Amino acid sequence: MQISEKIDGNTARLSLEGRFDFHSHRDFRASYDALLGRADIRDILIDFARVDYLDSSALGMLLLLREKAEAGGKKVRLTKLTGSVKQVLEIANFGKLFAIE
Amino acid sequence: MSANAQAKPIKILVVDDTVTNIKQLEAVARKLGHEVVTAMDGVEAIEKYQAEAPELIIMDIMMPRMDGIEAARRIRELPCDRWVPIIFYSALDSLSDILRGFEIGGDDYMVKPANLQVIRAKINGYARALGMQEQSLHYARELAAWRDEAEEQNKLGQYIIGRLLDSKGLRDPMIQWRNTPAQSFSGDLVCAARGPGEVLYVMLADAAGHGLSAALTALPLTQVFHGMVFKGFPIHTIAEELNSKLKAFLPIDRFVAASLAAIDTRNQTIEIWNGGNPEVLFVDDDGQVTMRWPSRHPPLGILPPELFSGATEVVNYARPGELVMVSDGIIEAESPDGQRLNQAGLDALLGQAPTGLRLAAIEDGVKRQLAGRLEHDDLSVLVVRVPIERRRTLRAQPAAATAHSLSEWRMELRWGADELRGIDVVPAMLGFIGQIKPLQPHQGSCS
Repeated sequence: MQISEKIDGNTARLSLEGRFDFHSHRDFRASYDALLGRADIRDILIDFARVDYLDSSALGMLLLLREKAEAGGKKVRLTKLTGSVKQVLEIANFGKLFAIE
Repeated sequence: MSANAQAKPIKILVVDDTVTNIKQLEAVARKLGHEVVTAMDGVEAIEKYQAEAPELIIMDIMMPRMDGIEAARRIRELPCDRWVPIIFYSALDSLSDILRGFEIGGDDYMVKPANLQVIRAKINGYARALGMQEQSLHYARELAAWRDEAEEQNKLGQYIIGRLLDSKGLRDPMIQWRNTPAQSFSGDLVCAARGPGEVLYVMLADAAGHGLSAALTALPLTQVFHGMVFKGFPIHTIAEELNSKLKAFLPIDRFVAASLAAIDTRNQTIEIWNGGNPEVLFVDDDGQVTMRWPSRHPPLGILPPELFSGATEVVNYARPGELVMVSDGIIEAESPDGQRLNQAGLDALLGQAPTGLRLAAIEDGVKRQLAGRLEHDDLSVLVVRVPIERRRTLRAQPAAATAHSLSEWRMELRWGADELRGIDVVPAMLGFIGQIKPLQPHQGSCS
């Protein structure tokens, strides 16, 4: 999975690309670790536009990010969900856990 | 180990029929810190090779009894688990001699007399290579030991988990099920048990991830499920308890998708809680999916108890059919060109098969979809036959309680509105009644 970061004011956008699964653990963690330490970042926006696969380990990674972000007073939002990615998140009712745009 | 590292001392077999040659090589090798054993001809070389297990051989060719070429050929035929380089060191200097040395399995060839510096460099070069070989053999042995240990633990794990997951509820005539792991352990879990009043409770759970870690994640569910079903707790309370247990046991990124159902054939009701699993389906005897229960909740083990909802959906059914639960591995089964089975594909499979053969139809359909690919997710299916019963039947007729000395007992319990709001009536009542010994064999048989 490729991850690119764009910071705009208080919002950091992490755009994911490819398969988001148990192999992505290290990369995903590395992509947000630095953001969590920055006081100026209030919102972390995860952009799924170019993700074509999502498994249950990926859901676990999102939960972990959410936990850490909330501990630091930050919000995690999910955006641009389509196709099977949207379906997986809907079945897991992640709309009850994350702000989804 | 880098190529520049100091070579470790090795044991060198020097074979030559001329004592002065042996002395010279021995002096060079010993000065470099290596150990030396010697032989004066091919026959002795083989004997010393077997007795001393040298790591490097420097071999003359022209010798009495057996020449160096023949000795090297025979040494190469002996069983051996490592590379023992052979350097020919001979006055024979024609190209054909040199090539013959390599052909029978020699690794190097020096023409006598060789420069001492070159001999030193060669010996040290081989000692370094042998050191690297030693290191990788060590890693390989370590790896093999790890693998053996992991296999041993796997076997034990499979045995224990198999025992923990087995229950007589899974042999209930109303259900058919299959749980196929992607690895040696399944992170999917299928449970079934009868509660008081013959109500059949079933659960299909799918822990995040796969393999042993997923199997361990789902394990706490079975004991809670069976204990609470036996005591007659309703589904919403069971779901709440399962969630609290997992929330307490699991790390943040682990959770378990689950669907729970209670099928009450006497009152013709089905009650469902679905958190994170694909739709639970009711298929009538014509193969039509007439009811669907999509996931309404996040999976178990994510929400803290105060935010968790055990809200269920209850329906009355008027026609017989089958209740079908699957894990997401089924609908996500992917063909080699990336096409998934999907919900529509599953519906179609169910429509094509008659009642009683739908489990097999789903299995065949998934197999066709995968077309020989290895499934990377655990696959599980649970099919419950939901009949319309003409009359009440008991599975087993317990012995009559009237023959006992306590048979004349009478008991009355009263609860007011306040209590009724706060308790689960059936387990509370059974809690009292269960104290009466002659009634204990009847628990779970009849309300």
